[in-house]
Amino acid sequence: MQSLRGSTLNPRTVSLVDMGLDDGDSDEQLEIGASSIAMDLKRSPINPLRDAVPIAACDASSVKIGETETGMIFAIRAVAVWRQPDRIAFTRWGPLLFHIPNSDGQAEKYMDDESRAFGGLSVKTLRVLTKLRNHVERWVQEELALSVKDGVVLFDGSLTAGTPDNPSSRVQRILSTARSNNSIVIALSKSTQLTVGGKNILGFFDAEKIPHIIDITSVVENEYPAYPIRFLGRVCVSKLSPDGFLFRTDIDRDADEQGSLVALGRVAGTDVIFHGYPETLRIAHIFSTFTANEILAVQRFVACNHHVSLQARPNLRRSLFGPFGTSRYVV
Amino acid sequence: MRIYRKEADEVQLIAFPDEHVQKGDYFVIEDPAQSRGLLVQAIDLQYANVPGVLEDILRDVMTDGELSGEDVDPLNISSQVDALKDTRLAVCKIRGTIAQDGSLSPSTSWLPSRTSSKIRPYAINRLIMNGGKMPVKLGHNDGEAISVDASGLDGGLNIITGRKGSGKSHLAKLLLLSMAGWGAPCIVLDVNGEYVNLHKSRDGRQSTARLTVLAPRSGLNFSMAKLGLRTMAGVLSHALDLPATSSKVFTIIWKDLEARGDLTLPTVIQAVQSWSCHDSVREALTSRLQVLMESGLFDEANPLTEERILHTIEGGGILVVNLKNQSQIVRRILVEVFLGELTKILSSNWLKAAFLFAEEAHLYLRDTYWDDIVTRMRHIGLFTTFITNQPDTVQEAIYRQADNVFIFNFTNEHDIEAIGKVAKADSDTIRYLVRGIPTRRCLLLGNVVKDLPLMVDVEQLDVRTMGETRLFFS
Repeated sequence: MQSLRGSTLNPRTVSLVDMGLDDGDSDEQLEIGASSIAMDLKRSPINPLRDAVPIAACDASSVKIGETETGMIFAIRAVAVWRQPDRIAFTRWGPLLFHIPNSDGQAEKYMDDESRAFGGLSVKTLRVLTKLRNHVERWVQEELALSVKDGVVLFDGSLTAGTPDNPSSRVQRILSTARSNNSIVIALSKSTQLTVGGKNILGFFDAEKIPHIIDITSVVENEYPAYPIRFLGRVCVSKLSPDGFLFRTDIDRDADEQGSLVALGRVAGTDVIFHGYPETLRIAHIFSTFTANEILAVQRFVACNHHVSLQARPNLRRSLFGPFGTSRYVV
Repeated sequence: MRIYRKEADEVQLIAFPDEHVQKGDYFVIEDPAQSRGLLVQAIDLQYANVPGVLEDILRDVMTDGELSGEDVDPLNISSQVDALKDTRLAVCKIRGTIAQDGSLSPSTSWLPSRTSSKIRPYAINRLIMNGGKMPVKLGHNDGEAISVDASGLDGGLNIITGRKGSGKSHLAKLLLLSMAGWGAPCIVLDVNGEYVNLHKSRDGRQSTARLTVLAPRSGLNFSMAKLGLRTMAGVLSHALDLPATSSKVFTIIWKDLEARGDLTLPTVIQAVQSWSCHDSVREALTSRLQVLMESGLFDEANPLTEERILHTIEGGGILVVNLKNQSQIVRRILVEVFLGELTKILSSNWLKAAFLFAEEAHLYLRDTYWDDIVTRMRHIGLFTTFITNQPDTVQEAIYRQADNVFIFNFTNEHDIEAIGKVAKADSDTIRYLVRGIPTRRCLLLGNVVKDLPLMVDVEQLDVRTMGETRLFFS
């Protein structure tokens, strides 16, 4: 960031309807054969338990701040939330600013349609950003795994790892730390890309109204190569409240089935469940997400503290095509 | 500050929290390329409608209850967010153009650059005094002393209005003493007896003000013969609603007694009793003359003469006509008589001009006098200042004709609508600036401020004002 002094920054447009990158909460894309789903899957009811156990959750978000002459500036923020018997506490780290330079240190010559599909980012920039955000998020997860004793730790996303950006060793270490503290890690994904015959898997199990869980690990593993992607949790579909939505739910693989059900029961009974989603995780998400104001504030901070002049570049596509200046991709 | 947008005669400026701006402040938007500046005045302050501010506020609200936490914000960005949340939008009215030599022109047909213009506060007092030789210190605005030139009050019609207790009488007294200080003859129609001690400081010391207080049975009495038929007929017709037929009979009786050199109130009453006329006419005249008799305003022995009035007010004297504790009918008679006398003095050119301060004039001024004051009396040199807390009692024509208007706090929509008819400013300026201003702060409009609306915190006066409401619990 220090090297930016005196350069220019093309600030991102702040709009309530297009906030660009989200927090990366999406799991791997996987199409499961229709025959697999026909397998006899066990549905286990979740009994809400009102135990006074600590429930903690964390989430991280990243957002593009603007483009410099040689790259892009991003902000990342992570949040940990603890539900205690009488109150909810949180710690928020960030925004942390990162300047990701282009590969050759020069301005990107053009933006192709592929990059537009990733919120205007090149694949390389997106990978670096994902890696940075994962790093910050995993660090917070490590801290929670270390500090929460005899409780439930909720992650946003899945327990799938094994890519260079998301090494499985680190996730394993987090799970192991939690286990050593007699805690269990559960990851909830707001949007899953597991599909059967092109239809999202969550739609297949939405008939039952009572809180329940269906373990689909065997189905997923059968359809997925064993390497390099590793499923470090049991992949399930769960419903935590009668009026709630279904969520893909990954539970630490080393936790036994009964322990997993108890942990989910504790979440369902101790935490507030909003549309089937734990309040603790919801607060973590809300507090990590960047608002339009915060983006403007970071832009002002960069301009003031790094002596960067804000110069909005003309949008060529919009200038040339007006309202038809959209991509083939829907952004 | 930055220019956000311009629409019609309004410019909207973005002001960051560290930039001081309040309603009524003047700013000049200087465009270096054009060597001139646009003079604007903030009439309203709003929060800047930054996108997504609702999200931030809702998130803040979440942490107000059972949710508490710690922000590890190494770059202190949250302070920037707070700054954005507190960023204000100053809605400003364009007042004119400041040329390179500092002169003001009403031209508003140009736009300064939105990117290169510099916006800075503008001390308006330098335009207002602008070489005036008779400063009247009214108070201060944001620490800056504000004076107006006394000549701005000359030859005009002034209105001081505001809700009860907002400080309008205080300003009236300040103007009165200042005008008298510059040698102006002043007369006060004092309804509540709050001007009678203006010549004394709070600790009882005598000031230099030359004050004369007159009241019925206390120096304020008139000779019927000296007042003349015109004034007396006016009193009977306008103040006591004498019918036209009776008025004609009165004129005949008057002329008869005048010819005989025996024109006093008792002789007129006697003449009416024995006069050959219809009983209803006699009854109408007798009842009204009895009212005059009981008012104590007529005393042939030691009447107030035009010469004495002239002597009292000439060269900066203040004549207070104390109407306190008088019935409405006596007030109306007295004002009718007094204004008649003043008209005579001014019409005869014995006096160049006089300044009349009329408190709550609707209580004693007949309807036809409003027009008279605006038109005829102005031309003979009677310049009136109306002081009222009921702006709807002042006729619309008065607002339209007013040369200077001093407006204190109003919160009632009906009152604000009434004063919005003032021709010296647009209704938006009045509506936005007047609402919510504190006690003793006043909006000045008109000639005294060169038609540049100005907010002033009115100066404290070291005189016994006697205008405060008497309280039980104090």
